[in-house]
Amino acid sequence: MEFSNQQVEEWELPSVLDIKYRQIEKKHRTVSIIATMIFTFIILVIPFFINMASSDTWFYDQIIYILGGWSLITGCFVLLSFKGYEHKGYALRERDIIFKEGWIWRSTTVVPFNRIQHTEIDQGPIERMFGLSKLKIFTAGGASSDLKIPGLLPDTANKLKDYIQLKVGRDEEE
Amino acid sequence: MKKNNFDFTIPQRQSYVAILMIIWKTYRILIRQVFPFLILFFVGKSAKSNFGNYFLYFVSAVAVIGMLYSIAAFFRYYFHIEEDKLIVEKGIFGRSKTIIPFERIQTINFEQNLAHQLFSVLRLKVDTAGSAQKEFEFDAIAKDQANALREIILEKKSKLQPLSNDVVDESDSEVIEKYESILKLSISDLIKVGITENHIRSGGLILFAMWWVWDNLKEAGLDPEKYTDDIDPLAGGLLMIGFFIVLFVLVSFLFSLFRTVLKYFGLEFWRSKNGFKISSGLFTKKDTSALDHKIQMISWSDNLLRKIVGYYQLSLKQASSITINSKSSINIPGCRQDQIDLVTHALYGSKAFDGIEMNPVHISFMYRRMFFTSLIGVPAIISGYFTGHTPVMIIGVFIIIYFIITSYFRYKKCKYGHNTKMIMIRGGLFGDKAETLPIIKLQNIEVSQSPYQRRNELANVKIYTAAGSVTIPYVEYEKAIKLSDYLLYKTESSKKRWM
Repeated sequence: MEFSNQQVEEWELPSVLDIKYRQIEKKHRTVSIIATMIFTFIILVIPFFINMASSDTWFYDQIIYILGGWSLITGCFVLLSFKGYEHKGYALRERDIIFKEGWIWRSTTVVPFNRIQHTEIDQGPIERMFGLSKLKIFTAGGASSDLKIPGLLPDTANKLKDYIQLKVGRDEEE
Repeated sequence: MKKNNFDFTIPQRQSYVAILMIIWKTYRILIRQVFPFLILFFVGKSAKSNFGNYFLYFVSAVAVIGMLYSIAAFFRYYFHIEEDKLIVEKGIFGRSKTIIPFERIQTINFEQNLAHQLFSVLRLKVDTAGSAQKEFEFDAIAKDQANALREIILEKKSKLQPLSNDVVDESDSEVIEKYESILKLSISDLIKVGITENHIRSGGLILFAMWWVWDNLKEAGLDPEKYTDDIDPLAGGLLMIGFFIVLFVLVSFLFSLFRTVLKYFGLEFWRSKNGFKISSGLFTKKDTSALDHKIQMISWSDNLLRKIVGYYQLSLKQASSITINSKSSINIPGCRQDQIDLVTHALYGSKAFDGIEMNPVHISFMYRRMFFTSLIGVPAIISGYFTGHTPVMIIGVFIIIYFIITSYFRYKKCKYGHNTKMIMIRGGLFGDKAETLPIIKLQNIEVSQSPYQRRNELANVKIYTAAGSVTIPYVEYEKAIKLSDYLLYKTESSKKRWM
């Protein structure tokens, strides 16, 4: 194995700051709003069923407060997914893939290609209706660290997957 | 050895004792799954409704199904050896066949708990390597059968080795190797470790258990509040409170001592050619090995009491194939500094930590922490003020003072640094903690900002590895980006495998 260990000055390193991100498909905004609504609706329905099972009436007695609180929370969540869309973006570099997200709490995750275990294209029912796909990138870093890029056209998702696969494959040959 | 007594080419089942083990395991998983519902059930149920009965039926039904499932699983579980592969067939409805070539088998570990010892069987764990890594275990197989199996596998494996030149160093079988003892805990060491345990944690566990019992008593119609109503704990005088506190501290202390002895009895820690091994336990004697290339992170920590005796708890965190759980890391209490050095030198070389300059995190980490954690004490003060309970108010004030002090210590101790190879993160509260990992073990990296951090150009850096993650909080944004750029550069330009 050849060995090189040149000194690299820190200002010469490629920086995450210089990245131009690509936005995901605009349809994703609708998808995520619908998903949020369904989620909050389920949250509303669960106490309703619990109430039915226990033959109490507190759910009906407090319906105004419950609905009021619920619409407030739903409104916040919808706003979050509405604005969240604008802040989702991804970028490919020679050696890694970058994904940023979050409107209020922002985060940028970088996954080096030589750490990727496998990739997956996933399509939820709502996404299928809108013709969108989700690219999932798995590393050994555990479930919470797996990268999920939503709102991609199936074609783009496939291309990305192929590109990553190529890079990962090349890495393993070396 | 009477290995010829066993013909492993014929598919066979495990020992019948395994049925018990499988049932036990299934129940444990089931209980863990429905645990939140159980709590919900016990806490939020009104006594008169029928809901409780239905729930009981449901639980019994699940229990019966679980048992039947376990028994079926046992009778459908076969294993045998075919040439140089171990083959396991299982599955109740769909059959699945797992083929494990001997050359991929890294270690074979035996484990015995009390039930195993009673029936003279063992649990056999096979640890394999490779990207499609898989660990699996036999719940119970007869002792001599297990020994014979291990012998056959190791024998055939050693014959296989010349064929696979490139993996020779990895696939050395662990039994052939010599073990070099690093640490052996004597009874007095063990007691010292137990005495210096984190008693607050034990106290918390006991409190939780007490709350649990209390709640169950209520369920059973014996409301303990009825009996304690006349005893106002606040009116009982300081003596009474003091007595309870002393009693509680004593119980917590005994509890953690007892736990330590149970867990770490007869602990021995070895260095082998390409890994570490630890064996301990009073009733359940457990062997765990960690192979060098699987270890992702090493951390060590002490606490106030351990500082006096000079003990650290060393923890080798391994990559685990299924999920990250504490099972896959090995913990060695009662290590001294020179034993830690021995381990880090063996793994990373003696100069691994040279030239690491430790940086503090931003001071607003402390202020923010003080502010937010102190909020916990505010309700106590307010409610104490309005209801006129001065002791409640005092408790609230103490909570705030406690969090202000701890935030200060957390900030003071939180430091990070790296050189060209290693990352080191220090932290701790009253004790000290150090986490170290080679940069190339990084799996991915996340830089995140809250609105406050964005306004003040700060960020959290979270480094994910295959054995969990470490976070560096409140770093100046520019430094955070530089750090992440550097770590990525090192990871991406290295051709060394992370495992």
